Amino acid sequence: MKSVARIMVVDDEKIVRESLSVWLRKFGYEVVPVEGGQEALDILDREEWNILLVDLKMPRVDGIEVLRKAIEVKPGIPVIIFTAYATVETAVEAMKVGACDYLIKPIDPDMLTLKVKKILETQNLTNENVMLRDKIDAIYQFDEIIGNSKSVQEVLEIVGSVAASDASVLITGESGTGKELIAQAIHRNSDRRYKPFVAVSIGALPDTMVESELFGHEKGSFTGASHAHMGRFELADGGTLFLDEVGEMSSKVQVDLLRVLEERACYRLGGNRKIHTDVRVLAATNRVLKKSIEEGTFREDLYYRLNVIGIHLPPLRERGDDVLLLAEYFLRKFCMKMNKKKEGFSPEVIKLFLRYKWPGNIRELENAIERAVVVGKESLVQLSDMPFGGGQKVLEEKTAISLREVEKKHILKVLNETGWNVTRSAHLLEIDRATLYNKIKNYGVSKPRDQR
Amino acid sequence: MRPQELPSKLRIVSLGNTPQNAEERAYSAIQSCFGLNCELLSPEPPPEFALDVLRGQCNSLEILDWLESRFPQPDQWIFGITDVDLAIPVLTFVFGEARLGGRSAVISTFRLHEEFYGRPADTLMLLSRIEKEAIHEVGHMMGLTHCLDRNCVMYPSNSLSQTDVKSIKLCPDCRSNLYS
Ligand SMILES: Nc1ncnc2c1ncn2[C@@H]1O[C@H](COP(=O)(O)OP(=O)(O)OP(=O)(O)O)[C@@H](O)[C@H]1O
Ligand SMILES: [Mg+2]
Ligand SMILES: [Zn+2]
Ligand SMILES: [Zn+2]
Repeated sequence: MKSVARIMVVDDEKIVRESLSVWLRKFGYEVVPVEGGQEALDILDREEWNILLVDLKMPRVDGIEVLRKAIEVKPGIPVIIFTAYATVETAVEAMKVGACDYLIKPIDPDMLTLKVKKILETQNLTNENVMLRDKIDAIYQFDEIIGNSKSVQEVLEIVGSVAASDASVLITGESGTGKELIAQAIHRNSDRRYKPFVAVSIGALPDTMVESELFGHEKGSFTGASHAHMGRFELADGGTLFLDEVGEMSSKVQVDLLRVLEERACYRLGGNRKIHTDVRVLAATNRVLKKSIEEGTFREDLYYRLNVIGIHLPPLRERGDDVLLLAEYFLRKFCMKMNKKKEGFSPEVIKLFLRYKWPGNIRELENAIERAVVVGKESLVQLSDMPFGGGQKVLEEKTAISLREVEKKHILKVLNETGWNVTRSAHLLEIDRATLYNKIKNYGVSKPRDQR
Repeated sequence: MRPQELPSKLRIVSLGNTPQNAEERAYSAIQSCFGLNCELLSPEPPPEFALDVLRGQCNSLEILDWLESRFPQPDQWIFGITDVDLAIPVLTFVFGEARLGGRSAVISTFRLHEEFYGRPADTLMLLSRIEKEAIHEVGHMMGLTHCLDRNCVMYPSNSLSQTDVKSIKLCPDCRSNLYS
């Protein structure tokens, strides 16, 4: 007989505890529905439990109290709190008291399954099947990719299953959503991981340079080509080539790239030696390439070459509570780096994080927290440590300002959000980079000291 | 939780405006996977009695209750296919629901359509998903619990990609559990 995981489900609402029990039993777990906090505490130390699933709001003895007593009686027992959306903050509070996780009602069944499974796996209450799968999963390392949301977990699942193949992958998503991070994860989990990962950002290069960057050039092939130069395709031989911002390629480059991908070989500019390349291509863009195809600015055949497998990264604002996980992660990271001590975030900051739209996505969050660690004085990160808290107010204060002034402030805001990445800012502003450079110069906008 | 005994018949009924051929495909898939004697019934209206107006979804547990009382013969199992979105009260949605080791199950085609995800319709995909979900729920009626093999039809799927990754077959483990 293999041992069966035992789960206690505590909720005063019959329909809720029954339906959760029904659901969990289909996984072969033994589930005991319990109708109140007191009843839960009564049977708690009479039997062995692997997980307690406890509703936060119950009459008399509520979820927090069950949680407190449970970890007192059985230290280390995993308690998952679930709650309606209106009480998220209390759920965060519950985490501080010692809940190992929380779920929002109505519960996403996938999240529930995932969380329960993860806990049981750490408890070794696993049958051979699980161990086998563990072994397979073990080569996938996604430690540095933070996210519990379903969309992120799904992305990781795809990454895990495509890493080993040589298929081209097109990674799409807004600026700062982690496209490059995912590309690296694919590389590091593939058989090519001991060979180079070469990234080339096509959007950041002037058009004339792209070809020489990608394919290399021979000495004297154009004015200024005083040495022969290896292209990125050659550099990446045996490994992975990451083509960033592919949406920005001119039609000429698109044709040449397509030919190289089809022939698996290239020629340096001004050269006639055929260079064979064994390269896996990953590409990324924050454009909607389907639209570019319709508009005639992107070749459909190239699109299908690059998009054998598509991975879409949702914007941060659609990842729910991941923003809090990421915030904690960055806080730890920067505290360590700068040798500072911070306990966490003030409730106002948490509220802001959940409400804010994060146009610059994870990069914006990362920058905001880095800044907060630098400027913050208290042990909890305060609203006043946040770049946008103050920034937005400034715009509201004085309404009668000139258009010029508004534009200047807006440009500054976008630049700050993107961590002063001009290419990305230009994208967001929907102007080209040269125009943005000119405006920066004209307006005399400059990077705040603490971000340099 | 194994059923007391196998049914003399598994009856399949559509509830509402289900896709063309859905019942027929479920019928042959279930028959060939489990060797059960199946029968198609004439369609019933959509399960409006189970509608949760606030959520715009039907409570799948109430549908199971209804199926069991509408088709009460204890030696016959009843399998519903509906086009309404299903949920059980505390979960966001379910593709289907079955009594573990019991005599009723229901699946929904609502989230199996490509159109639901904003993509062009794909009838072949839709029908193959219906087959998988049907076999999965009947597997539960037969007493099978979820399987960890991603390719096994008893792998729990709560997203379409999981449904598409898994096969229409029981893995050897599940198959041997079926008759043990
Ligand atoms: N899920 C995540 N967990 C932890 N860090 C992340 C995650 N996603 C992104 N980051 C971090 O956020 C920053 C931005 O990510 P990255 O550069 O990969 O984004 P991108 O989509 O390539 O952006 P762009 O389109 O602007 O080039 C990086 O520092 C990256 O490490
Ligand atoms: Mg990038
Ligand atoms: Zn199931
Ligand atoms: Zn199986």
